[in-house]
Amino acid sequence: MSDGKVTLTINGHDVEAEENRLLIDVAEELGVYVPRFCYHPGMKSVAVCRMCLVKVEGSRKLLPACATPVTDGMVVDTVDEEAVDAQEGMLEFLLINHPLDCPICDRAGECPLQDQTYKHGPGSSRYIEPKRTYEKALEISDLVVLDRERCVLCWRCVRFSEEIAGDAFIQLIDRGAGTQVLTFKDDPFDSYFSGNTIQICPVGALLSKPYRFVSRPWDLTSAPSVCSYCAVGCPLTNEARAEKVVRCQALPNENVNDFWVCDKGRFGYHYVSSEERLASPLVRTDADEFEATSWGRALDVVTGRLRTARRIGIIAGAHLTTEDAYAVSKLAKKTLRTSDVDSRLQDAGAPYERAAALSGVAGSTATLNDLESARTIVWVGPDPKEVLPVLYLRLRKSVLEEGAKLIVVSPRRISLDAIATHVIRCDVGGEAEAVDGLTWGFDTAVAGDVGDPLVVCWGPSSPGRDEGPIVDAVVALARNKNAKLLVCPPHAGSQGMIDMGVHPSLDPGYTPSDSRGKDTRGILQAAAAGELDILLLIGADPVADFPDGGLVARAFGSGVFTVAVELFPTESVAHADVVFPSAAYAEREGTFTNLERRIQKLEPLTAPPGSASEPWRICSRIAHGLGDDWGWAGFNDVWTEIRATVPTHAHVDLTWAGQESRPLSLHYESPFQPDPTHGRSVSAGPGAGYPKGHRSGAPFHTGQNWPLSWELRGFEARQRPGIIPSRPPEPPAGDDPVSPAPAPGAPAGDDAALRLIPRTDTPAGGDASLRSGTPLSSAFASEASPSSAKGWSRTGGEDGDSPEVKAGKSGVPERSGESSPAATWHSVEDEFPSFSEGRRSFVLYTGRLLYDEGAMVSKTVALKSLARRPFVELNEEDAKELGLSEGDEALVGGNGVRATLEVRLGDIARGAVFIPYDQPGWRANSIIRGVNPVVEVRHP
Amino acid sequence: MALPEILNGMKTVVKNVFKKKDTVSYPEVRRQPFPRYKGRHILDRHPDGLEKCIGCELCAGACPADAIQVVAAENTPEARFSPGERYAQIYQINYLRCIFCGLCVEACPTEALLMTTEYELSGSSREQLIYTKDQLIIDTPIVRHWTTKKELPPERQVFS
Amino acid sequence: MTRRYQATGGDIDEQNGYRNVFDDEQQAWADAIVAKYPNPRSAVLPLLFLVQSVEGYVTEDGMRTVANMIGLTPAQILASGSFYTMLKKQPQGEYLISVCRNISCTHRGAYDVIQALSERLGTDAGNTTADGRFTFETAECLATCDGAPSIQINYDDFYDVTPQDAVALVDKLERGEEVRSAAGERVRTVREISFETATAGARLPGTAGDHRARTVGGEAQPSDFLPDSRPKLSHDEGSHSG
Repeated sequence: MSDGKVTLTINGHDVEAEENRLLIDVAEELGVYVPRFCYHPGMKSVAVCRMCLVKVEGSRKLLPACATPVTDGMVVDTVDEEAVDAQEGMLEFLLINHPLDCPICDRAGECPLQDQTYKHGPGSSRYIEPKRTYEKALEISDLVVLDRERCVLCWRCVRFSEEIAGDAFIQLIDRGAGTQVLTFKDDPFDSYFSGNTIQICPVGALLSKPYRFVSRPWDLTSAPSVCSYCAVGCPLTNEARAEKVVRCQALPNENVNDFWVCDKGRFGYHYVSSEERLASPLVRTDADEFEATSWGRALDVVTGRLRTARRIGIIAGAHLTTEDAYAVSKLAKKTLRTSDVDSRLQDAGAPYERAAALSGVAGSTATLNDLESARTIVWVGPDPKEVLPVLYLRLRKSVLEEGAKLIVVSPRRISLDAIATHVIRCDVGGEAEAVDGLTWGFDTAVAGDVGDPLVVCWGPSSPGRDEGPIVDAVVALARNKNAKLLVCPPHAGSQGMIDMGVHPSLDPGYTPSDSRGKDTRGILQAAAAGELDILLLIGADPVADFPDGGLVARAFGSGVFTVAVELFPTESVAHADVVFPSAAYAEREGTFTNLERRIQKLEPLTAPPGSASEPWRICSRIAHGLGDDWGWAGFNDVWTEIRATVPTHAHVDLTWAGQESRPLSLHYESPFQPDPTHGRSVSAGPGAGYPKGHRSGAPFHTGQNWPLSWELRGFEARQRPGIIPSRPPEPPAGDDPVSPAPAPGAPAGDDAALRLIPRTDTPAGGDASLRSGTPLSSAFASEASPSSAKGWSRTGGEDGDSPEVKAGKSGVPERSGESSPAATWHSVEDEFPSFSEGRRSFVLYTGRLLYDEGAMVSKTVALKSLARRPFVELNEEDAKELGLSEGDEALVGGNGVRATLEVRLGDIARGAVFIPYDQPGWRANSIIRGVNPVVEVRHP
Repeated sequence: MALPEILNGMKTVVKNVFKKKDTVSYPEVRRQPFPRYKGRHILDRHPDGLEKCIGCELCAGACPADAIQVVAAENTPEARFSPGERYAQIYQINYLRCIFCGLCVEACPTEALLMTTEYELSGSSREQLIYTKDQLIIDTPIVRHWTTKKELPPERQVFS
Repeated sequence: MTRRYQATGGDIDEQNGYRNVFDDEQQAWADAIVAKYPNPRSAVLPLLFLVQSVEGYVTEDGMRTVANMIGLTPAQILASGSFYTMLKKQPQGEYLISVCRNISCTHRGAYDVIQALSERLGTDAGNTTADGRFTFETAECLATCDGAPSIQINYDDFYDVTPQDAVALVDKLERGEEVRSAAGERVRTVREISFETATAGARLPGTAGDHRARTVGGEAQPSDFLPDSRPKLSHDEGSHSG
């Protein structure tokens, strides 16, 4: 057919389907389930399990439905005697070696092999010989347990780790009857995505170590939710036993995460049921101790203070939901009439509002699906595998499957380099220059690959540094090439905060505020200077997260009255005067807005500890105490108000009415499903699916207690695509911070190129060194901000024997003049010697690793031990000059603090060092001072 | 008249007055139930002393009254409770809910859970009637509230 | 139990702490082998043979070396390598003696040969002698049923082997004498044949042409072990039909 559709017959029913689709999918949509083990819709077909053999007229042999594309006029019979015979035979084969230890197997009850054996199996086995045995339960990582006996050699885990994750650490080795799934020797299955192999394993061969023997599937209650860690916002099902979350699994959403979720999202649920959770409001007594108290009293203390306070600063955390964000914004801007509110901690230097210059949205204009249709993707930002792991998978898929060209701009080697078409290795801070190079086509080799459609991705990378020039350059590139922009903030709640106006210069819906307030740094500076009466921390932990440890210490050292809303007694909470306990993501209704601004809903599953409550409710109570009754009783009231007041969100309908809600294609029809045909009169499977040979012979569909396979539960939950709010109207031209860029669609004229010059100090003729892998500037350490250099010299001294100064409430030298970002970024002052007495100053480039010492990860037993020790990554040449080599210890100092860190040699721009931001044992933010920090490194 | 009916009734009375009594003076005298009487559970052990129960929770799954709670854990070489990898860390039967149907015993894949003929289940609080693993495990003797002076064999059952 | 680790997210560059098994010359050969293929991945098997020629068998360090060279994970190397029985994962002797025990050979006395070899070598089938010179294994059909019972020494065929013949062969090899197979080829050590297999078709930069690629039958000389009863060899095709 000409329109790409074909007509075929499946079990006597005529079906129209798109050409080249797989028979197994087309049949499933019709309601005809073909049994399978190796086929997974998220991966390529291999047709190794031979379970999906079906009869196709005209074919001499049975064909595997998972590897057969539909063709016009095809006549398929999935319940033909021959096909059923083959299916039964295959199952009998698989059960030859599969141990029947279902009673001790975690998969029992939701096991595709169990389910399909009941439905499609022969009912008995003729095999009486001993089974193949291996050593049971190998712990191949801290998260995954492998039982090789149970493996049916479907290749799913191997394919996932090779095709999807690119971490091929698990393989089928040996051959013939001895084939087994295994890792190499004692090497751990060290992948950030290893948990997905557990979820897709059709038997109990790969099991979750944290969930091992914890529960049975029929004990679990579950609720759809969204991951609370990063900004990708993978949909999850949270599952709880006895009011305790014991498992999270990925819910497929082809718009967001396909079928996958990273290990941090999958195993990072323990913190919800941690013993350390705050359970009641705390008030600091006169004896300087916390005392548990009632909500009424705590609120009275806070509102009493707020009534008299004139100078109020509010810092919100980026793990709060969208409605929390709205409540914080409303509390600040309506009730308290202050614009000194911000949510940016780790990304404190990231001016998201400048992204609005492109389209009026302070966020992404691209969706994740746009990545797959893009011809070119430009990535400027942190390592997505560490910060936004599932985005890394999407990027990888776009490049390797869809053939997009990837241009990576980064000062150090990141995971994307391996799949990139071009890697532009720039200096730290040289990203803007490199992106300009793309905009104006300086580098012809790279520019030739900048195609259309183009998606430009930017995320704040090194915490705290000023990303302004980079955002401007990225926006200019997007505008110049008429590209879409994907803004990648770090955390689950980051985008929601911006959308809802928890921002000093943006109101809800990206409208610029009338008055420009203080940002996080400004608020902390005001606190440090004693110019703040009250500081509200709503889910924020500046001590751990804000990239200037000294400033935070001074801010709290000033004794500002601090109110904290938190999950845990964090270090910031220790400084607070009043503490309110907050409910975690699995305990509440809510929505997260992900990096493509998609709104997805959380459903409550367990009860919060004690009297913990949602932050929006706490904000509303505080406002009520101040005489401003918002009239919110529940989640829906908040959304009613958001819809009414935020124009971009006016159409957001959280009942999902009118949205496509289709069954997931990923499910096994369980024999326990009452009607396998979903109400259609199609006979599916042999005998319409009740267990042959089961001793009672009775259908199993009575009662609700029967275990449903996990896929089936996913099926019940239904895919909810989420909603992306509309864009506001284009902002007036005067607000455009990126003046040089031409209007979208307009060709880049000479005029535009000339107007670019002032900011970059580079002749538009092009820097000859702007090539892949070549540093843009040969003068290393030239980006250092003078104030930072002075700061170090003063506290560290030039004699190389700097006294160890802890950043604490006392003893922190007072420094004036926190350098303003714009002033220092491009100032090239060679104030301090680049090399003297075996010590050198380096530009500090930090970044988060996936497993860090964050409040949530460090309360998660399963992930805690995985976090890497802090290290310092140096360029090989720099290390050589310092006499350091891989594995050595180096002394790193800055901001009056120093630490001994392990040296790693890496592909990083010369003159820069990379230190992970927040690893166990040592926080890099203590070493950071000012926006563009410098550290010294020397031999200990 | 009702006389024939009265006489008929009296006949039954007279017949039974001279019959041997079926009631016993419990608790001094107890009846011994039939061997397959479904009473209180026990958890069996293997001859080598390891628990038969592997904590599979199938009994809990089969229980129509939701009376059983099992929480499993992993055996370690240092602390081995049962053969294989899994054992029951927590095993509780709530006898306030149990209906003695025996489906749990049927479900048990290792014949660890058995039913005794013990029928004396009473206590002074709800907690006392939630039997834990220490009480259910076979080496804990079943203790009765009162001593038995005389036990009647099953043949002396009421409906024998 | 896995060894303790800190998650690196599968950063292959973090795979360190192994011994590179190649010296400079071997590394040059390895590079030459990789250069032969458009996709470095294709060089896995020749490189593993090169490892076997260096180490005597495919060692863990050898697999890590290869993995690092061509940008695969060690697990992928193991997956490919473990499929092929010629690549040995255990230490093995200089000479691998394989005795066929399939139907034809068994009927013609293969088990007597196995018995004789077991006694002579002092080890059961599947093991290596204590001095590490011989590995003795039983094999399924070696595809020379017409020469049953048949054995192979380092994959060179010997036909119509009696127990005495087998022992005599071992004696000769042990004394370091030259042994020629039924095809008239000198029996080489495992390292030699692994090197030849690995480097077939590859050449070092700066050298001319193909080096000592194996020429099966080409250098045939009178065999030490070509029983009179057996028809002429394959390069003499005519005699088969006749």
